[in-house]
Amino acid sequence: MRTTLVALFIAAALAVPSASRAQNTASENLTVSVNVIRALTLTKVSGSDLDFGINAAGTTPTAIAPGSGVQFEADGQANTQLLVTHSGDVDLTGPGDAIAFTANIVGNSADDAGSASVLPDATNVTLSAGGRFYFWLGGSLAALPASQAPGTYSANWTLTVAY
Amino acid sequence: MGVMQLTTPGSAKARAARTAWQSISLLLCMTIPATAQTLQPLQDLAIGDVITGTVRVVQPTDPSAASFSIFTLPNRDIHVQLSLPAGLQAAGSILTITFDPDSGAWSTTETAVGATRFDPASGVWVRTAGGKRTIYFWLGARVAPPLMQQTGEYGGVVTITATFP
Repeated sequence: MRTTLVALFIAAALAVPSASRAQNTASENLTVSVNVIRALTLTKVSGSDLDFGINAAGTTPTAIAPGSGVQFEADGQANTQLLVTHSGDVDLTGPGDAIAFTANIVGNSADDAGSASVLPDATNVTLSAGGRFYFWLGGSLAALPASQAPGTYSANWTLTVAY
Repeated sequence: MGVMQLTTPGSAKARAARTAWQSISLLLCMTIPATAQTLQPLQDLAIGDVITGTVRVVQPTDPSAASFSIFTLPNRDIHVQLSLPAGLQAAGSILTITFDPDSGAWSTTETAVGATRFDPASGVWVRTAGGKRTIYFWLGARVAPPLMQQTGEYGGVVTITATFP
């Protein structure tokens, strides 16, 4: 009797591995996600280039308030943060000594220069619920010495926005 | 195998007489399945923010790539097939997603850099070797929403099927 029982158990145990060798599969899922956001554009919407007009040597050109200067508009993903960088103060070059330009750049998520805030270089701002942010550029020129050579003086000034 | 002995109460003489034939032998056994394997998703494919009009490619070596692992026996062949979405869906909109021929990668180590690339659309045969029992997989992808693509969160599913022949 004992021999018979043991033989049955051994037979059963040996049968398991051969049955489990059949091909089998496992399956799982991964999710894929992406957040599509609007492309960012920056447009000069009003005003021509910043023009201080004709100024005599020995005088100080009249400063231009931001609201009377050049307006830019950024358009992008609503309520998204932007990094604003710009040239800051630059020198105008021409036939004589360079003329220092001090930039006055302000920005606002509303189209209102009066309530805009000064924007130092490398400032983070947030687009409005409509996906917009507005900039105004004014500034001032250094006093012109009496010896300033006559002619046209100019410089490029760059505003950049990025997500 | 172990032996368990059962003895009934009674006189010492009777017990002695009965013990010889009242003993019962039991075989204690444990079976380890020959195909102990697991398929384990490790990380979803989170492509992140993509600006309309731009292209975003997630390489399998990128931290945002999807990853999963398979644990099986040493020296075991495995076939991995991926069911890839052609588009990701948001409310009322579809964003095309593609998988480059080298968007898939696998390795017996847990590092995607230097892993063997494969075409996720074709699937891949792999084999555990060198005493290793785990194989790691990574999956990247490419999306290029056009400028007029509706903004928002898009999602889809990749189904992994591992076959152990």
